[in-house]
Amino acid sequence: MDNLQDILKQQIIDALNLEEIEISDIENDAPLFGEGLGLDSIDALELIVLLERNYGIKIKDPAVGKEIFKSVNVLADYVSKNRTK
Amino acid sequence: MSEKIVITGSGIVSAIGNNRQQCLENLKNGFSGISEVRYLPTVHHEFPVGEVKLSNSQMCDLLGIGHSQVYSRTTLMGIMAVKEALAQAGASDTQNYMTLISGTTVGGMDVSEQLFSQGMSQDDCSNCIATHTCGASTNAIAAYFGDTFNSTITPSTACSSALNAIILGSDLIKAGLAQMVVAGGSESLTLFHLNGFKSLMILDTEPCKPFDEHRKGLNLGEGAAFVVLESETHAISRNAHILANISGYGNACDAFHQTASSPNGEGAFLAMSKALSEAHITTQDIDYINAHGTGTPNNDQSESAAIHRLFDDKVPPVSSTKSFTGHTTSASGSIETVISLLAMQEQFLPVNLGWSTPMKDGGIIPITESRKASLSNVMCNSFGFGGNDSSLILSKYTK
Amino acid sequence: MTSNKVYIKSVAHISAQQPLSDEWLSSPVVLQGDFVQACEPVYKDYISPMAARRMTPILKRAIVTAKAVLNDTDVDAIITGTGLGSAACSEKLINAMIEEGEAFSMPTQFMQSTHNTIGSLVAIDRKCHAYNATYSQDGISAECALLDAFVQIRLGKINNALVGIHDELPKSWLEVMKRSKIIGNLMQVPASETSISMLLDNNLVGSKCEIAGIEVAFNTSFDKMLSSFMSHYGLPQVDALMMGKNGWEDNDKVYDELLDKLSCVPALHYKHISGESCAASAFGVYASALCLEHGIVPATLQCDNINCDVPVKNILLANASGNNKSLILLRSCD
Repeated sequence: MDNLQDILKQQIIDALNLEEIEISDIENDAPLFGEGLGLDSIDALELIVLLERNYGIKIKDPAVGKEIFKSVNVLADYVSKNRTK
Repeated sequence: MSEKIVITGSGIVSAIGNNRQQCLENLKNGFSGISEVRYLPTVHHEFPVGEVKLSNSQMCDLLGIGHSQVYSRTTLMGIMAVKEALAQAGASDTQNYMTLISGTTVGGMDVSEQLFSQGMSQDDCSNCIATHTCGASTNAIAAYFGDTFNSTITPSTACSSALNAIILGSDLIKAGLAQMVVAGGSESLTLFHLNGFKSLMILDTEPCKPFDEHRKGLNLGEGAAFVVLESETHAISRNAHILANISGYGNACDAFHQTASSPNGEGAFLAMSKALSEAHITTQDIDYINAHGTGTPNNDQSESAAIHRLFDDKVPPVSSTKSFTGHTTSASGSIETVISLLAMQEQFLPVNLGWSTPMKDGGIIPITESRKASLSNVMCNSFGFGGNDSSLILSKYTK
Repeated sequence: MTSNKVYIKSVAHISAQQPLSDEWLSSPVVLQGDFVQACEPVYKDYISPMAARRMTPILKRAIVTAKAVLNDTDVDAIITGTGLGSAACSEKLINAMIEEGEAFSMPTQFMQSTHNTIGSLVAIDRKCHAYNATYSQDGISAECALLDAFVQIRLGKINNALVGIHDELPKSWLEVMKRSKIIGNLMQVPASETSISMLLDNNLVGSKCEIAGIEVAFNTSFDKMLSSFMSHYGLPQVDALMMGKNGWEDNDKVYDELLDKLSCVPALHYKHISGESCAASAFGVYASALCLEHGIVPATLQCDNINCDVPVKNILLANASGNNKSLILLRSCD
């Protein structure tokens, strides 16, 4: 597990307690919300907490979250550009 | 047809006043009570709040309570509002047959967060047990009044708690299981829920703008309000002055999401519909809606959709008075019921502060200029997390 | 006014006893120690992992006991009683606040810390848009929830209701109760956790018993409550008295006046089987309903030697919790 995508997937699984889902079940381009993994607005808030804790990224507007949580690829791209730790 | 349930007293404590008269004046004059935090010991001064402008010890002094006893702020505000309601109803000396129904969620959390942070000695533990729970905070309100209350009940449906208290009180009277009920709710600001709402990212850093396109979230508030309920016969038999009657109410569940409201406002729509049908009136008879209108993007969109579904293009004047008081969470249902009652008695429409731009998706256009109006039927909405949605209709009392 | 009658149709529990089973009637688990956790079923059999991802045990217990009593039945109301609500979530928030100050962000824990999370989650699970309310009145939260359902069925506003009573005991609250000596010293039964769901209905068919009356009170003696009870429901016939005694002298002595008044009927108890919690009195209702359904009182519930008339037809339940008290009269259906 060396690429950021896979690290993020594991962190998402742990943070959201997605017991029966494995890294290989999440496609890099598949939507995380709605029809993809089926996450909701509270999960989005938990992901915002995750980004701050693990990468020092502060998101103040939940609408920004919506954009960057589109897929693991979009998220990984955002994290690599904005991380402070 | 069952007997009319009437209101014979009301009391209120909120950011815009410590009693009915102060609240009324500020409502009429358009003075909001939302400002920088002053009493809650929080670091978050970036979020404006609707605090009651009294410290706990000032409230104790006003109520003649010794400072050695531990009281939660929820209880103190509750006592003030119940006291005012009982006095107006001429029921201050009533003994041993009234029911107190007080909605709350936070209860004595303000005391608990203090005690936990100082490490909990044995005394702390006893104090915590005596104040922490929702039930304990209602019991402490009742205990202040000696033998007045012989039963206490605490509804806890988050932000609709106080409205559900009024609904249960009315049903208990209808069923002949209570003669007089003091119903409403009380909730103080706490670090617990200020930081909790911050976690949900729905707090505005500016004064809230209910129903505005650029609304960013809610301002938390605090306060308490109660009404005295009894049957018409009971009120007449003791020569009480009747302020209004409760003509209908509805409680429904959105059953959509734990915090979000459904886009079509199903729960709100069902609650309002039930209230109308119980009151045997139509949408045309409603002269004013005191909306839940928190100022969050989600609530105001969902509530607008529900109101439009029910009222079609004939929406009566609507405003959210949370722009004055902040969102007083569990107390909001009764605070806004008392505000609606005052509007009805004084014949005016309370405005919706902070509004300037209509919502793009056809939301409610609230009233922004106060004006005189003859109000016969007023609808008051109160919605809670988890989709606990309730709606109440107050009507001008006629024999 | 003619009122509809109110019946208890089905009951399911997750408690210190074997979950979702009436086995305790014949072979109860003997509770030991200061605190006994609820005995959990295998939740995966009932709730999908995705739906369960945020659920604390109390929420799972509520969903599963509701499923067990309702199956496919639609209800006109979901009414919940809970003394402490989702206490485990509140505890996590308070702990975070003590450790991190106001820097923490815990959306899930906060969202689930409100008492009404339990009832609204059951509604979401069942896609039920009906009346939904929650009551939190310490040890008589169950009676308040039952009272709301009882009143609405009697008034004819609803035909049936799911009433759920749920309480958990997280570490910090257990610690508070221990330090104040209530748990581990004063109380003679262990603290525990209880989740009970009941289906109330206005239709007699297939019911366990009738709820003939409910009275809740504050700062009032049982003696006064009995007269108020009679003014509301008439003179009750009582064949057995089911008490919420927990072995703590201060709590238990308030039942003496009832015992004096009803000295010739057998006295029953249940908290040695359920343990004590804010939801324990719901276990008393459940136990009494089973007695009335079967017409007999098992020896394990009796606390004196007075013979119980068979079949037992009327059980008066009395419960005291601090300044609050309750009376419930349950009657057999025949």
